Amino acid sequence: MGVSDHIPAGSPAPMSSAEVAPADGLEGEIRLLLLEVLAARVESADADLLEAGIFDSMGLVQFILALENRYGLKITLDEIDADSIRSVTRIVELIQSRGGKDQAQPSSPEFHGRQIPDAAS
Amino acid sequence: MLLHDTVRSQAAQRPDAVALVSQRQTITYQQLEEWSNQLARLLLESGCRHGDRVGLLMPKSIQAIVAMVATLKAGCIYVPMDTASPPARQAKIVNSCEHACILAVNSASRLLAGISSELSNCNFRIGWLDSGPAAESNLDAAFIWDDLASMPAHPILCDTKPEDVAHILFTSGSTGVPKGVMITHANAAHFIQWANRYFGTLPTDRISCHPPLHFDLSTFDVWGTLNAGAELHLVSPELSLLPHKLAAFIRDSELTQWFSVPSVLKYMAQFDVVRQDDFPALKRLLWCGEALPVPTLMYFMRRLPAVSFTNLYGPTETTIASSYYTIPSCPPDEQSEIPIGLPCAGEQLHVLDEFLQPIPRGEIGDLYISGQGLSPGYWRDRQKTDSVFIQHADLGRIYKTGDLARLGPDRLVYLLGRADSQIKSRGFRIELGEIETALNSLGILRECAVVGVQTGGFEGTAICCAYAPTPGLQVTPADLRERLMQLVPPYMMPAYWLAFDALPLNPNGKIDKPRLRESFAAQSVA
Repeated sequence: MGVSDHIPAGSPAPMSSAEVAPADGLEGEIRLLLLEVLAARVESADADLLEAGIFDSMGLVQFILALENRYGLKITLDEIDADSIRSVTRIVELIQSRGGKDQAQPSSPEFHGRQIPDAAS
Repeated sequence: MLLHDTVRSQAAQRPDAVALVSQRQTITYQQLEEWSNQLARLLLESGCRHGDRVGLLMPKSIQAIVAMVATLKAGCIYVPMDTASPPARQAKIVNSCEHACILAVNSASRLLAGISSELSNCNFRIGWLDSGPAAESNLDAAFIWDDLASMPAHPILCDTKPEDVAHILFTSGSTGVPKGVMITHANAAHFIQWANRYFGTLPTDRISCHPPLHFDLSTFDVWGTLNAGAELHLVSPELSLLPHKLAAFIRDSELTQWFSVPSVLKYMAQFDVVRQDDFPALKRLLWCGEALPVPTLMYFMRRLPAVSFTNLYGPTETTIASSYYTIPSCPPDEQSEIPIGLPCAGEQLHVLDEFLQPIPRGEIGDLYISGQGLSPGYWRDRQKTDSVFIQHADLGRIYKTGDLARLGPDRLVYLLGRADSQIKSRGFRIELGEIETALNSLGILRECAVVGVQTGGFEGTAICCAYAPTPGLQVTPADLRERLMQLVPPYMMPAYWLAFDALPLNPNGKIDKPRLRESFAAQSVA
């Protein structure tokens, strides 16, 4: 047991955010956004984000804010239900149903939301 | 009084009264009585004996409540397990409790397989409270839900005594091993009888069950409601993310009692989801778990002038709550201080100095609790038990809460925070040391420190992690989050991360946590 078993000794910790974003448009962007805003890596587009505890209330609010900024949308919490944020696929559908337009470069390295960028001393 | 006896007496008096409501499913007291008798017989038939531990590995549901009642009827002890918690942590609990049986549902089969693979020997049987997992899962089944029908439904006799343990609730432990708090029938029954008397709970009440079942506040919701013969309305955990839906739930279910944690109330206030004179059926709103910010209290009291508001306080170790304070009127300003109030009947609060002597009124000391809510201690951990459950020459057995408090001129007790590194976040009690221990076990960090930072927002205390990677490694917050997810439940996950080459030290050479807290506060946290 123990997840450290999966990290080969002495090797650099794998994966930067760029490697996570696949080349499949909106889905990849949403996954990248989850990574940027919540430091959450999502294994598949249909993984249940609620069951996995990806969102707490604060995290959800920040993630929606990031979606709004990124896609030029206005999403209010009272319009969404649990199923519309349950998976990356559902979030993609939510964005598409609102006619969201990408407002940013997909590979923008800017961190927004709650993850604090390199503040190394 | 035994907790489960109440179901039989309610079923005898009012068999058709609704006991449990979950989404569109409803069951009566008679059904609850019969199903729990049948399930208790299945547990006994599968080999469970008096005092055996039965794990409940399922989300909050009607089946889960049936399982709680049935386990007690079989003379066993139930151990609610958090389905959002990773297998490695759950395995520690199973290992310590030596479960005789785990009652599970299909949706938890992957988790159960994960727990089993963490354990060197799995001596527990599995009862599936639905049709069971897919055949290829390799998980056996001592019985499934459909087997209930083959069992007699008439009452079952057991020789449980009030001082026997009814359930074990696991809370965060600083060394990385969760602590199991044993709660007896007498502990829980005492609080429930006091509370139902104090609140005047009636069979016509419609009561929320909002916290998860591994959280001790739910003990009051479940057993308090069943004791009163009232209706228990199970709140889906997903609703906590959606404040408007939560308000609609209270409104549409016509709840008369809403018992919640401050983070949820703050969230609802922040999104202004409560209309003027909303929730016309609501009689009382209760909270516990941490302090409710006064502006949030003022918001609710202004919107809901017909509702009574009660602050409950108490750690798991003293059973649900030990003190109460019903707010007499809307606080005049945001600087008002809300006390934790007076001890519940049969319990006592003591503010003592370092020599366990009472201190003058108005001075700050350590808060201790004595009385009928005191747990017998931690499951199979004499050392931890003896460190906080203390025999006092004058006061008898007292529990050290770790909270700082003072007695006000009004004879009410006021809480001032923690004396150690434990925090409350979203109502959960968390030992920051448990998170640090888990992070250190990953083997990719040179050092780390986890601190709690008070925020202005609704999340209360934010968990913040400062770390320095092992030299030569590049470690991002996402890397840490992904690995930590395997070791701690989501409510312990840090929300903010700060990477350093080396953590700042104080003049004594220790990690400078106050400075780290300032660094986080200076970022986007506060």
